[in-house]
Parts: sequence; structure tokens; C-alpha cells
Amino acid sequence: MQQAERSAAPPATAEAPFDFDVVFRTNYQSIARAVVRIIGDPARAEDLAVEAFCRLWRRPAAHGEQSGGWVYRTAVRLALDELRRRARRQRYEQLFSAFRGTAPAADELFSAAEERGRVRAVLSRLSRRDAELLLLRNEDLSYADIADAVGLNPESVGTLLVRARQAFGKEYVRTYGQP
Amino acid sequence: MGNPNRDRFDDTPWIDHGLHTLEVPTSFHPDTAAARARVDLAVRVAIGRRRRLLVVSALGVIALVGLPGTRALAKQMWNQLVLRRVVVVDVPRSDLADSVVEMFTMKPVASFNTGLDDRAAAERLADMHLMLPGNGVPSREPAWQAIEHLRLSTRPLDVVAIERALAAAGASDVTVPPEWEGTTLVAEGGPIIVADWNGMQLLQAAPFHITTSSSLQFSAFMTLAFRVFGQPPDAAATLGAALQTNPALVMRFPKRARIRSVPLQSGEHGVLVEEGAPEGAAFFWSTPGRIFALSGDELSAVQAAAIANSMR
Repeated sequence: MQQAERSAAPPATAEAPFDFDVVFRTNYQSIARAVVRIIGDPARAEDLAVEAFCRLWRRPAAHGEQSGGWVYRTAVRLALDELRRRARRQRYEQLFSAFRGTAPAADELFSAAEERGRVRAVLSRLSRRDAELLLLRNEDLSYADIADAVGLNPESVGTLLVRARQAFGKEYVRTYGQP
Repeated sequence: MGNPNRDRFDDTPWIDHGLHTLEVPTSFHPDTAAARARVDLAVRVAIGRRRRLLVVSALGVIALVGLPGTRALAKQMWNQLVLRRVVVVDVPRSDLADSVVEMFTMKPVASFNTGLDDRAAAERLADMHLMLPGNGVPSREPAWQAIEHLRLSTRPLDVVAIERALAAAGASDVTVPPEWEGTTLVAEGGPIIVADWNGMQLLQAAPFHITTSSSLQFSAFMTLAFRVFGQPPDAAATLGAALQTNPALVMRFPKRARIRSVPLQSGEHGVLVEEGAPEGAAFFWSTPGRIFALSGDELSAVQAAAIANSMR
């Protein structure tokens, strides 16, 4: 046990002592929840949340006051990547179905395209930054926190969020029609 | 200006509604303790991987080493290699593609790491008395780990690519036996025991075994390798013959490394490889039946020799 604790202590930066354990315990639950909101798969969400913290451990440059925001953003990115992977796979599967002449019936398609699925599909097609901004805002992060997490000037967060929403709306309507 | 945290897009509330459908399932209860344990495990694996890289560089130096004592050379296997004598072979060619160099040098292809509770557990696994320095390292008990098994292999030999590399080196007198196509050299060893003093690590293991395919004649293979690497014909033949008598793991090490031969009290020499930050330095030496590698962020020749001489 002692060895495990020692092994898991990441190198501290010269500027400030860094307590990985505190950052983990403070943020893990909320980050896991943020990820499960995005991908909807509880087991995978915990995997990705753990991976985000492992990345934090391996990245001394991210150790410090901004660690919480950094790991949050990393987890959201991992979740978005997962969404994209799943969307790609779905597209391939549909393609194969078409070749086999067993394309899913319209009602089957729509059963998978309920609102949550539609939102995830649209998010997977947005630019990474637009999707990140929308998801972080959806987590009720303040503009200042979003700016910290994404590395933006807080003054520009509002404008960028408007653009992200426009992109979301446009993609949604293009794909599914006006809600 | 208003509340800076208030969004300014009430004209599209359906977007908010959509995003808010991304709910946390009621059954979702993240297990913080389990997750923390997984992070610890991943971190330990990462540390193990770093050690594995150190082992790789250790073998990289062994690669430059001639091995003493003619071994009974079964057609396919050299067993119980013992490292005693050090020969540094320079590779003057810098234009060689990695894919060609890797046909003659070994890289790890599989390994299995495990943590160990204490020295007794390490000795049980290694089935030998483990030696530790009498001075030059912290007096406290190190953390113990083991690479239970390490397998290294060359890339399968591509005769056409080798002939092309030989031509580029001006070695038009050399032919590559076509039956060597796909040939590899494989070395296997372990367990390699790692004693870690947090910044300084000592690895020790029994010699590795080398396996080749039956079609390969080791001396000719090594002669060919040194020709490809740019050695003149006579030097390549001499090196090939030396390695026939004293087979070695053939590994690569970075050009930027500074290499020094360090005399030991035993009359043998060790090799100090200094790569500078962040790789640090490593020292390699052997006793009959055992090879050692000591690595640290900083390691001078004096320190390395003192530690190697104090092993007991």
C-alpha cells in the first residue's frame, strides 16, 4: 500500500505543491457524471474519467490550481472522441446493413434517434471546441470556469457559446429538421 | 452588461432542452475508491513501462558487448550467455532507414511486469540470491519489481531491402542468401529484478537466451549487419567472427550518448552510458552468470564503479 501511494504521487511542479489525491477526490464524481451525460454508458464513463485522471498524473504541466479544469476538459474531450467513434461505427454498420439489403426500417432508425441520441449525434459532428463549450456550459460551469478549462479569454466565452449553439442548431435542423 | 454568466440565446430554448436530456442515469453511482485504485494501478504500469525502457537501453549497451567463452553452439540456440567483455562498435552510417537497422537489432516485443512485496519475494521469483550495493545508494530498503519475462526480436529480414542498403553503402561484393528472407533473431530472458530507490534503479538478471532460425549462420549474419552499418569488409568480418565465438544481443543505442569504459576491481570493465536529462545515465556490468544495469538521473564513473565494486 505504501508503495502504491508513493508510486501514484506525481512529480510536483516547482511553483506549487500539488496534491493529486485532493484533486481526484474533489473532482472524480462530477467528472464521471459529466462523461456519462455525454456518452450515456456508465461503465465506459468511469473508464474515461479514470483515463482523464491518469493523463493528469502524467502531465506535470497541468498540475496546479487549474488541474480541476484541465481534467474536466480532458474528460469531456475523451467523451466526445468516444461519441465520434460510436457514430463512425454506426455509420459503417448501417453501410453494411445496406449492402446486405437489410437496412433498418424507418421506425427502427427513429427508435435510436430519440432526442438524447439526436443530441449526441449532433455533438459528435460539431467541432471539438463547439461541443466542449456546449457541454461544459451544460454542466453549469460559469463563463470563468469554462474559460479556465478550455484556455480562453473569459470575455470571449459568451460569443463563442453563441456560435457553438448556432452550429448545434444548424446541424440539428440539417439532420433532423426543425424540432 | 448584465450577468456575464447568463446565456444570451433565449431564442432557441429547444437547444437547451435538447442538451438537458443528457441526464445522468439514476443507477449511476461512480465508485471513487475503485477509480482511485485503477488510477494507482495505471500509474504503476506506467512506471513499469519506464523501467522497461531502461531495460531496453541496458540491452542496447549489451548489444555492443562481446561475450566470452566459446559456447556450445547448437544450430539454433545459444544458451547461458555470459557477459564479460565490452566492445563498442560504431555505426558510421546515418542514412540507414530504421526499418533496415531493426532487421539486425533487437527490440522488446513482449514483457510482463509485476510488483513484489520485498526482497524475499524477489529472491523467490528470481531463484537466486540478489546482490545489492554496499555503498553509494540510500541505506533504506528499495521498492522491488520484476520484469518476469522479456522477449526481444529483430524485425524479419527483408532480403531486397538489405541488398538495397548494401548497395547504398557501396558493398556490392556482398550477397544475401535468399533463404534468410523472414529470418529473425530472438532473445529471451527474465525475471529481471528491479530494486528502486526512487531515482536510482538496479536491475539484475541471468543471461539471456538467443534463438535463431536454422537457416541462419550467425557469423555471416553479423558480418552482413556490420557491412550494412557501414563497417569496411575486414572489420565487419572480424566482428562477425568475434560474435560467432561470443554471441551477443545486438541492440542499438543513441548516437548522442556518451559511452565510457569503467575499470572495476574484478579486472573487468563496465560501460557507462550518459545521455543527459531526462534519460540520465546507466551503467552496465556483469559477473559470471549475471548481468547488471544501474540507472539514475545522474551517475558518475566514480559512483558507478564504487557501487559495482561494493555489490554483495
